[in-house]
Amino acid sequence: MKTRSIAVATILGAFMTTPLRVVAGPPAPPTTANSSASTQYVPGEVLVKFKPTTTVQSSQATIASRGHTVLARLSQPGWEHVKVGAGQTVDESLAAYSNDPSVEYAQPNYIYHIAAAPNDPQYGQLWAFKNSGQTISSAFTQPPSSPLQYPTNNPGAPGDDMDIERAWGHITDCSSVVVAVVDTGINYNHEDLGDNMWDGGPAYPHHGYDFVDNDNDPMDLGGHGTHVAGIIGAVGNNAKGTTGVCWQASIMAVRVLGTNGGTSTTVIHGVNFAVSNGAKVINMSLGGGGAFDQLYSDAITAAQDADVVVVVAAGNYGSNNDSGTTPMYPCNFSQPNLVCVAALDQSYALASFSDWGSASVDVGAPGTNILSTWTGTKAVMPDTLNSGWLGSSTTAGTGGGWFYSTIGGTQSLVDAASYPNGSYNNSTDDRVYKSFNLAGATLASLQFSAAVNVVNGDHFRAGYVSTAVDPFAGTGTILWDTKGATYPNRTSTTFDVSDCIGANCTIGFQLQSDASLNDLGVGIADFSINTLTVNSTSYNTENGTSMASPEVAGLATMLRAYHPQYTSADVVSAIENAGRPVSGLAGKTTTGKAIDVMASLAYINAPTGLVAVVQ
Amino acid sequence: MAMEKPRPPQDGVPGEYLVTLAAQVDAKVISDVYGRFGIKRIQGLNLSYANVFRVVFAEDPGLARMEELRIQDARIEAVQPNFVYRAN
Repeated sequence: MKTRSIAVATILGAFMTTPLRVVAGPPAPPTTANSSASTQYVPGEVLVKFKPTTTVQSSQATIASRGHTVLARLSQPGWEHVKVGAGQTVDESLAAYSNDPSVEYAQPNYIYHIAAAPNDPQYGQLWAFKNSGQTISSAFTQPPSSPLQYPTNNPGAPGDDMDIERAWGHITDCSSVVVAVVDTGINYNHEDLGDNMWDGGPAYPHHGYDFVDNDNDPMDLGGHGTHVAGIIGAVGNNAKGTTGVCWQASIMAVRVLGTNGGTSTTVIHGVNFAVSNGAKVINMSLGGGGAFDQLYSDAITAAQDADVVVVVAAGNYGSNNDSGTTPMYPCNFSQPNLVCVAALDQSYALASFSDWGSASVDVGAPGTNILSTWTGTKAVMPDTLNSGWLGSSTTAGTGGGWFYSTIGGTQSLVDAASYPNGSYNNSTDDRVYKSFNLAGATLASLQFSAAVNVVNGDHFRAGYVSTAVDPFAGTGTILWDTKGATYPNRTSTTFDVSDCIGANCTIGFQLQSDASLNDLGVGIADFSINTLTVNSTSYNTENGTSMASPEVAGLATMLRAYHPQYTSADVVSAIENAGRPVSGLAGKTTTGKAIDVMASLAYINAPTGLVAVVQ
Repeated sequence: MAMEKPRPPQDGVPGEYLVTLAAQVDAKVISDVYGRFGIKRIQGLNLSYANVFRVVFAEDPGLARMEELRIQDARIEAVQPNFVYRAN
């Protein structure tokens, strides 16, 4: 039994102060066994509002004629608290009163729950769920000890949050609804996610699929997808880390973004996989700007046909998606099952980076300084390029070879010694290399910037070898073999060197020339090796519409768990119509609203298919 | 005031296109029409709602040339880049 036990308080007449929008007819009772929604209203009781023209005697007679009894007369004029007759249901009674010309409206006697907060130790940092005006700290950043990237409005305005604690009094368990995170994968071994991953059975033992590497292991090697997953459904009330919108969830990991992003192909496969394996909510915190992608749009339409809600991020360029020149897909797709989300800061101002659009972006949600799960620990290993490099040159003694130098105030490795005021030697083979300890890392990338002025027939190379030897002596891997004329501009370049992980990863550079023309040579600066060590205990504080989108996807999942009969259209309607107006979103989104979890949970969609008969 | 930053162009993977064929049309037509550009790989996407193939070329013919050839053969319904998407 996953449902947390919460004290229940029945509050007569609470409808006067709580923004439930029910005006006629009860919500259909949920059928899910796991949902706490079975305690939605008191069995055998209804609240009836008689029209002002109806006398007390007449209303009492009406109630008695149905075999009902008055339990209490509420303080609000015309309202009666009624006990229905034996053998009659609340539904039948409400229908009867709704058809009575003396009755203005009738509703169930709803049960209100005490607002619930989980015991997760970092819950106090989750301003999106409970904004008390707290300052979000930099205690959880990646790499560790790096500063927060969005200091604006930190702290923010108390109360500017998703209004979720009251909703948690009704439901915390969304595990009856599969939600797919179509992203960089998920660290499904994380201490705060493992118990909430989708059960993919023997075919998908790692809770999803990897369309980048085309295997069934969607482990996250970036962090983004794990962060998104934690916002939706980090295990709540487990005394670890954070909590998600849903305390219990069924999260499907679909990896479509690799180190260099994803493509139409991976994303389409990801959406189709999610749909065909039962996901009813899909989150895609990704995008590409510019051109309409028909096949991606077709995949969203197929999801719509399968009654799946798709929640997507608006984008992080601080621009208008509707301008005509800068659409962002999938945000700008127009299917009705798609909700596009902008990011709000801690004072519910539109975040400076958030894209917007009065026709394409639907709602806002918290998207700055969001603490959530992360796939591991990032580390940056810079090198000062002024010691420890071993060099060799076939033309040493004539000024050839690699040297430490300061170029324009930047410490660099250069070849030739006079760079950039001379030229490298003809017929030379100049090498320089250094070993780094990358033991224990899961991923490693090499980053440096280089100004390369090397002519045809000559070569500038970067390479590595996983032992402490010259990478260009035959056993190494060449990462880059280039020529060009870029001085004074340096180009920043990143290479995956994960195959080099070990205690003696040796990185090297080579300048090799023939006997003919030569040029200025090469200047290398800004050297670092970045590593990611996957573990099960990391957290990170991030900013982006990528973080706002899963707040909404979590809400959609919760709505589907609470109202199992809801269609995707009902879910979208409850999210968009029940939101809270926010001035910063007015004219910049289709609704001008931020999501409100409790209001959406209580929002009852207008019934369809009814025919009014005038008699 | 939002701080707008320039967006990167909507790139496609160089030399890769998604070709939609009419229903029941065999992938061989792709080689017939586009083989002149040196096809490295044809991969069916196996979509239930469309007959789509990912085509990887040795040399990128460019979308304009791909489109030019498409409109001459009714068996090919559409051609588009294999667009790049990134986390945001």
